[in-house]
Amino acid sequence: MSGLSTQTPFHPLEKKALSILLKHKTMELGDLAKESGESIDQVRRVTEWLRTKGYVAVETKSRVLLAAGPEGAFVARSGLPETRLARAVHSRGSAVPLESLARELQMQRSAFNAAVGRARGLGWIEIRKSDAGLLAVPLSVPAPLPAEDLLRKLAESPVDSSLLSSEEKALVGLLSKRPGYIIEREEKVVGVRLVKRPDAAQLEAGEEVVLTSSILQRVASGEVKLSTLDVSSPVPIRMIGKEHPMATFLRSVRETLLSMGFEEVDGPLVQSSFWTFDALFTPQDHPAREMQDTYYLENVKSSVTDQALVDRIKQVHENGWNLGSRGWRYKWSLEEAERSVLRTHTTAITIRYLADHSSELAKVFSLGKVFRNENLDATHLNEFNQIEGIVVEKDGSLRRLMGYLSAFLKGLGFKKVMFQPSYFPYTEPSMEPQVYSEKLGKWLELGGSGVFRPEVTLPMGVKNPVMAWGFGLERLALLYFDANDIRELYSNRLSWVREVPQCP
Amino acid sequence: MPVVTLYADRLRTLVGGGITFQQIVDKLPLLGVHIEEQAGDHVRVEYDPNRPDYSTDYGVARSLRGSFGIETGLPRHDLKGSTFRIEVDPSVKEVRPCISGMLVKGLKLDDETIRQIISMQEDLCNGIGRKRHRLAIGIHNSDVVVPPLTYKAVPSSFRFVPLEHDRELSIEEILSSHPTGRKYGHLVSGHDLYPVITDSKGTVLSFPPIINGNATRVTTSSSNLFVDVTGAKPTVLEDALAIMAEAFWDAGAEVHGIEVLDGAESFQAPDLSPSSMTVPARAVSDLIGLSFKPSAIVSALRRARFNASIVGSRVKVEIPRYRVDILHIVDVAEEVMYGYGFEKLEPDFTFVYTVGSLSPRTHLIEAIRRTAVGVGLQEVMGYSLTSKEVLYDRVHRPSDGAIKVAASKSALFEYLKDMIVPTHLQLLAENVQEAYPQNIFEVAEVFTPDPSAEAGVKEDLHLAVALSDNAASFTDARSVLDTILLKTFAAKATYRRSSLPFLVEGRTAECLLDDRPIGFVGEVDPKVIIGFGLRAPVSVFEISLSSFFDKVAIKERV
Repeated sequence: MSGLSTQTPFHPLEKKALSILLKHKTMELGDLAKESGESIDQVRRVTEWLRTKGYVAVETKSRVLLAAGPEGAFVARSGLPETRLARAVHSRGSAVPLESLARELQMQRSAFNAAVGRARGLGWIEIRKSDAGLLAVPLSVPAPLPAEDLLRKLAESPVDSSLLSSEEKALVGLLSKRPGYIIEREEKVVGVRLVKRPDAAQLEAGEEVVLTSSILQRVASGEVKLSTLDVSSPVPIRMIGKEHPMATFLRSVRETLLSMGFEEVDGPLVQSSFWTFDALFTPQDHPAREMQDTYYLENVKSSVTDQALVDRIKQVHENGWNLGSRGWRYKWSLEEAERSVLRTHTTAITIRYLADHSSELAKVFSLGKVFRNENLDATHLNEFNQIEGIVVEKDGSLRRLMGYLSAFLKGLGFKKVMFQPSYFPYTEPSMEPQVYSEKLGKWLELGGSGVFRPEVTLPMGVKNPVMAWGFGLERLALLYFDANDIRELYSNRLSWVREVPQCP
Repeated sequence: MPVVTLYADRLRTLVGGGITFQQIVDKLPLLGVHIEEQAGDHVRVEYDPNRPDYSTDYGVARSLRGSFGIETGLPRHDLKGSTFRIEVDPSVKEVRPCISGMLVKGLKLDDETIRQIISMQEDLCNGIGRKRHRLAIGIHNSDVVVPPLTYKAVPSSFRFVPLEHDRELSIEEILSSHPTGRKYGHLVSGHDLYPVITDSKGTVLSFPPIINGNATRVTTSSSNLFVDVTGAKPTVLEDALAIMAEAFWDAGAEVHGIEVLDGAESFQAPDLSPSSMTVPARAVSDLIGLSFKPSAIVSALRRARFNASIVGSRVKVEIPRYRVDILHIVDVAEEVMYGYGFEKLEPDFTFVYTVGSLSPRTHLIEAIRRTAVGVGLQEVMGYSLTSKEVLYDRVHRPSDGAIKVAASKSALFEYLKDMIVPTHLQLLAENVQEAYPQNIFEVAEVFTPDPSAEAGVKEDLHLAVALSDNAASFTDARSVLDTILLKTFAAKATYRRSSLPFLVEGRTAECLLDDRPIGFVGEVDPKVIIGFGLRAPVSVFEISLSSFFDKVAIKERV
């Protein structure tokens, strides 16, 4: 057992790294990783620990690596053009017409001419004129050229340019002029340098870091010891599977309604104008139905098949039917009602539910996407989620709606709830709920609510009062997540969706 | 939503009774008026489109007087008669058939009053007038007008000096070069003749709905006005005249009706007499949720500026002509609420007992979510709308059958996605700087045209996964898919080689459940990967979840 040391004990990985560095003094990080058998990330961490303890210095240097390019690699294998040319002439043993030589070697004219010139200059061939054209005649035997040696070296593996001799550097200068011969690449290299020698005693091995099944017995018997660990040193955070933050938030909204006994209903995102607007007593020339506000689908048409219902709605709009209403007093068009839209509210779903079930008693909610033809900015989306709640009961009234809605909003976490009278084409009376946000220190308007007009409910066969409320959820989500820009919620920036905690 | 500016000193004078500006400001939200901006000497408010009478401070003050108990019951409505005549020429019948009007006498006009009147005129033309389509209003200095007036249609060569010009322009010139002409010209197109109102001396009052003549313009020194209204339906014209008449009465003027000669018929216009409705007290109490005796209803309605009298257990209500929003008993009940005092209503916390439940769709998505997260995938939530470039061009898919929205404000949101995977490639492209591996999943609807569907579109719930890493392969994607199917539904799929334009040939499969195709799996083609600006391989799958809906019904298991 080594003597008690007053210095910080080394982690077994630090011991390993220091032992290697004692041999080499300076190493590249990559080489240290290879020799220690650890991953580059691990080695990086270990050298950082050693650096903060003052045992190593870490320097990043740049170096230029040279490698053979595609042409250079070819030359490394087969020789420079002048060598190949000279060999071809010598192998014939006698004069060779340049034309046939060019064809045989398959070189481009300019490259061929340059090769001829160089081969002559090196004394490997001689050019003679003849009646059949120019001839190449062998002279001295071609010898390997230093440039070819260099290219072979570079083709084998990239070389640090600072390690080349001055002759080699000059050759590189010449060869770089020929395209495809040499590739240059700048590389950053991290170097680790030992700056303080550790005590030999500190480097004593004898403890294992990782308990594996293969040493289980030996540890249990006391033969092998487990090292003490630095329990506060940083460890990696894992990549996990995770739901989108909005899924968490929307689930909590659903849970509030579920706890109040509401049944969830959903339906298509694409609806006819009939169910989105006409069945809700919204006149066909209402501004909300304009293309500027609503997404109409091109080349897609709806069909409303319940003819009796269509007739009733038509009458309701034109003259109030038998409901004791004046209606909107204009000419209603089926063609307009059969245009398809991306729903602007989930009311199209809930009113359809009531119509299909002719409910006398129902507590129903819908949570889903709605669409408005908007430009996106920090507070507006064109696609967002809306929550809508509906209660049908014999004793439904405005005050009872205030009761249900207050309970729901308090269930979402707001302690103070207030109502302001308002107006919507399909409810009367109507109110806008307001909630007090402790976080922002102010009152927020939250959508709308009201008792459905008889022009909406009676044609659907619903005789009891229908209380309803609805609002977009993304503004609340911004509060929930402490976020400022509504577009962040669906930008799917991975760092945001990964980092929002399950409990924001 | 329309807005009106209310100046403190005018409001205090109009409301009277010693009410302070702050008391007024506190009362406004309780009348359904929304405060946008408040300063020491004025407040800017938004009012709902069902109360076009709130387009001036006169209208708001009228309600406030009732609310504070200073003046209750029907407001003044003493419309006098006159012999001022408009003759309607048959030529306008095809073009813009209806006209009416009134005379306003003894008005004291200052700048703010003129501003209020112009604001009212604009709000009425935009609101109930549906951007001048149903209604256009002209206001003229009646001192320079010599009746009888003629309302006729003339050719486009007709010339007059329009408002704020000093020389004559033809109708054609006005329609092509004047901004108002260009904006509203479509309302009078499609005919060869154009409506004009002239007087007996040939002075042009107006070319409705475009612009007035300059000769009859109103200034602060005008004290007598002629108001014209034109449109397609008499009721809308009368609605506007009723609202304006009340404002002029509140401004201290006299209002006279006129005579309209249309063919053989001659009648006095407008008819501003109140209408009536009988409302059972029970209906009011039931709707509000508070028990109202008929006498309480009467006093509440009077504060809301109606007249009311008791008839047994019912209340007979007299409705002033300017209240164009009273369509049904429920509208009267709301007025009782306003007159009684909305602030006095407290929530009724009686709840009816029902058992709640989540929809099958939610159950299905939550089940998938659990296994997908368990496999290590990050959920993403995209938009239903995307661009043609992402959905079709960049993945070399043909765009026939594409569903496009009309007049989208952005080309990034023009096509409904019929597949999720292309949008995921775009998502990965926007996340190249984030840590890898990037393994994502999404459950969302996709859309295809289907004439047999009620709204013409078939919607199908899909699960899509994209895996992007140094070596993301077909095997990885299929492994995730098989695992999710097995662990969520105990389902096993089979696979058949297939091809898709953005997936590597020979590394693409169709996924089948009980021999029916439900989706595809494959490695994304490196050319497409590079085209999106990505640098790592991507493998993907996308399947329809519609066959699994019956798996989530808990009730069938016991």
